[in-house]
Amino acid sequence: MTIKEIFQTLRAGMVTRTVLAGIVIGFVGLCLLGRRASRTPAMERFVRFTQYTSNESKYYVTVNEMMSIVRAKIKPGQILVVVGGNSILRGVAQLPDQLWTQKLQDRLGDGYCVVNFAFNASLITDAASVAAEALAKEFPRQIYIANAAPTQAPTPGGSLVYRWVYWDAYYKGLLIDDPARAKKIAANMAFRIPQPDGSFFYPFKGNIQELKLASWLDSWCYFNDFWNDVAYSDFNTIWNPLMPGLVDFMQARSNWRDPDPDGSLFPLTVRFPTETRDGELVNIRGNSDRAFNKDPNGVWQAYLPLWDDVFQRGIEDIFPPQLKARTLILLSGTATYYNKWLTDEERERDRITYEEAVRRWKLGGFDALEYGRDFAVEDHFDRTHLTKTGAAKLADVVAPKVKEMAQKLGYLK
Amino acid sequence: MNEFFTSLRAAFEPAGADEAGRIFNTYWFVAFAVATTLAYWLLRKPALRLSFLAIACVLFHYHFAGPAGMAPIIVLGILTYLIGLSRHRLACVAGIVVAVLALCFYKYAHFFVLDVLGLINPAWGQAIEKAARASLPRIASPEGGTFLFIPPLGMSFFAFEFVHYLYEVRKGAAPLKNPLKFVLFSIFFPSLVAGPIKRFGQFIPSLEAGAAGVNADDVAVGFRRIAMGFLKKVVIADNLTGYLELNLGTYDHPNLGNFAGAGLVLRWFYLVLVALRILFDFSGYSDIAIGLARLLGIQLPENFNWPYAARSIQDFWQRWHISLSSWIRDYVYIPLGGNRHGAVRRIVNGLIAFALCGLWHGAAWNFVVWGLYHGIGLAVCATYRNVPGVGRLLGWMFGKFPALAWLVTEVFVCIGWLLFFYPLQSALLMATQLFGYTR
Repeated sequence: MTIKEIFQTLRAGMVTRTVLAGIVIGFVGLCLLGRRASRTPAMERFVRFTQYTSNESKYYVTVNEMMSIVRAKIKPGQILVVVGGNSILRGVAQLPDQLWTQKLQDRLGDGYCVVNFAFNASLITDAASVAAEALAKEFPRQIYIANAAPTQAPTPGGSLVYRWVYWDAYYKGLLIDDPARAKKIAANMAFRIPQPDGSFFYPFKGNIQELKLASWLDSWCYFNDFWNDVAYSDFNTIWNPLMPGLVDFMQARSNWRDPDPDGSLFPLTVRFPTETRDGELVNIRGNSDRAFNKDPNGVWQAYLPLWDDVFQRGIEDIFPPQLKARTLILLSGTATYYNKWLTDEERERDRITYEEAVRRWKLGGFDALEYGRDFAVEDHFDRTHLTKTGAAKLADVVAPKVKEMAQKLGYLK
Repeated sequence: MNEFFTSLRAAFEPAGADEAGRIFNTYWFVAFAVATTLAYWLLRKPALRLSFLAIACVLFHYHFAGPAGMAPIIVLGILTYLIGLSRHRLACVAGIVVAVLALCFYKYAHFFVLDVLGLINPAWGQAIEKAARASLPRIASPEGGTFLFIPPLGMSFFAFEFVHYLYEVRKGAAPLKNPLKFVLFSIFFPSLVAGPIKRFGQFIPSLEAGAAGVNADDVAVGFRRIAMGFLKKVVIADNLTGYLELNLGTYDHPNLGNFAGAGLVLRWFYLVLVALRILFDFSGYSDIAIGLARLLGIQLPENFNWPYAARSIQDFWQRWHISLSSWIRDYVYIPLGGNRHGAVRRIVNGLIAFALCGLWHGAAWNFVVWGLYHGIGLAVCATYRNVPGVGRLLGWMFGKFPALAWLVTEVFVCIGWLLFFYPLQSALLMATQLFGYTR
């Protein structure tokens, strides 16, 4: 080999190494930026997640984002109150300053820090509960609030729509070890229903392999935190129907204002349209029609296969045992407007169903209360969502309960 | 990347793009590609590298196709390999016929039975469709639920590659004796689902060179092409898809009212976006495939070369999906006689070739019409100068003003995309609306 050839070989080797080093350094640099983003709250002055910061517009909030929001907001000595649940608690039809969680904060005072992590259509076990659990070590004095329909037992590990948050936290090692919950999640994944063509339908499985792999990779690379930070603060790269322009969608999500309207400005004829009334009544009756039946003597009897086998066993392992007592389940009542179309018997069945649900949640180790039965027609925006007056009433109901729980849990010592 | 999981309707995409969408945009694929590439780099001996790559390709194929989906390619592959070794000319022809029949059966049975035979007697069509469906490979949907009945993974590509292989062997080319190299030619994972369509005379030397060593240039170009591919696909094409589907609907539900209600300028704007969307979508996949192969030191043929810069239809087809158009030219058009038997045969051969080209993209009438549309365009393009007066004047104008030639070409190509993306009647209506007709 001539000196020239040796030189050329060395040079080629150096170029290869330089290119590879550049790629590796660039990749590691991006991972570090993601890691930094995961610890830096991008959402300053956070009030709630909007449709522009939720999966509705293809924005998948990470558990780290939620944790950093709490860390930025909470003051030393405050009791953390994390609100989860669905659109009712997210505050659909309430402006940010009318939000029920803002009222709750006012009523609870400086000793508490209320954060609203509810998402539309999310369950008790979805994103907010995961964030609260991940923060349990750091902020042990915490209360978690979420809502549910009276006979609804949530899926451990979260619903199909929101479970990415659970696996995100799981692979980042942020969850409390809970073998009973893990066993139940595995059983749910394996649960299958035979189909006529010989295949099986797995109602709880979805594409879990991909989700787990994605979450595992993200626990090393932090790409979700990186891109969420870019999309929220700098520019968005994903088009979605809620940000419909060909160019507009590229604007940073922080530029998009909270779009929820003041529901109290809508006339009652719009809030409770005649043409949807029958459908809404079917939904209301559906809350209780399988829960209780009258026996031949005219006495209401709980339908035990539902309450014992589905409900009670369903709520058994949704959270680690140590987190159950700090959980307040709100059973969301339906709009008073519809009462006059229910028979006395249906109203009675509805009332005892809610009472039974409260009892069952308490039996499972949680705390629970029902709200809305005494609300005025104007307090609802539709069958379930609240206007600003309803929001204030909800805060009035929940605040004393939170204080009572804090006392009982020994947070006020 | 969660939104990338959405599967795409087969008939709405160029052949392979639906499969590529299902595969390239998964974390499994990303993890697999990274692990395979790193392990390949760490192995130093060429024989080890080739063996490892073959195992990786089988694993890839198994993961996405399942055992039932692998069976057809195994059978066809063994048949093609053995026939190639025999070098028997008649056997090669038989092998080609088998590959074409397999493609027709798996990919077009539904179309032939329901859309062609069904035109004559719908009951016959439905009965045969039921029987044909029972023989398609079934894979369980990753999300559970009913089985997916799909053509074998990469069918459109490997069937064409086998035809090419047997055709060349029949003509006298030396067959591949090393079964490992034949396996890699058949199921090379970067190009299996979205091309480019490989030629073994080019691929095998490149495969050997890659196994011998990967240089800095390969790595740099590979990463650049992959990044470019994902940028084109994810940032541009997917966002355009969302925007266009909101405004113009989908193949199954075209939003004709919105198109008609838009002003003339906006309609043309939509058309330009439709054209950009398919370019970035398909060339994005090609870039990813070419880049991945390049990381392994293997060069795949280019598939796109600034197609919208073309100044004639011939020019366009030398720039658009090059590996397919050159395959159609070499294995359909030229064997049919090409331009060797006068103008009429030339035009007929071109129409047949392009109708098949259209059908290759999807099993539906609109693809056939799209192919014929381009076939007619090519025939006109090749002959218009012979027309005294107008033809010569046009030829002179296009020569004098290249921008005019470019504009006419692009308008022709873009209107063609309406036939590609929408049902025939909807596409024709939208095409007329581009010129102001709104009733």
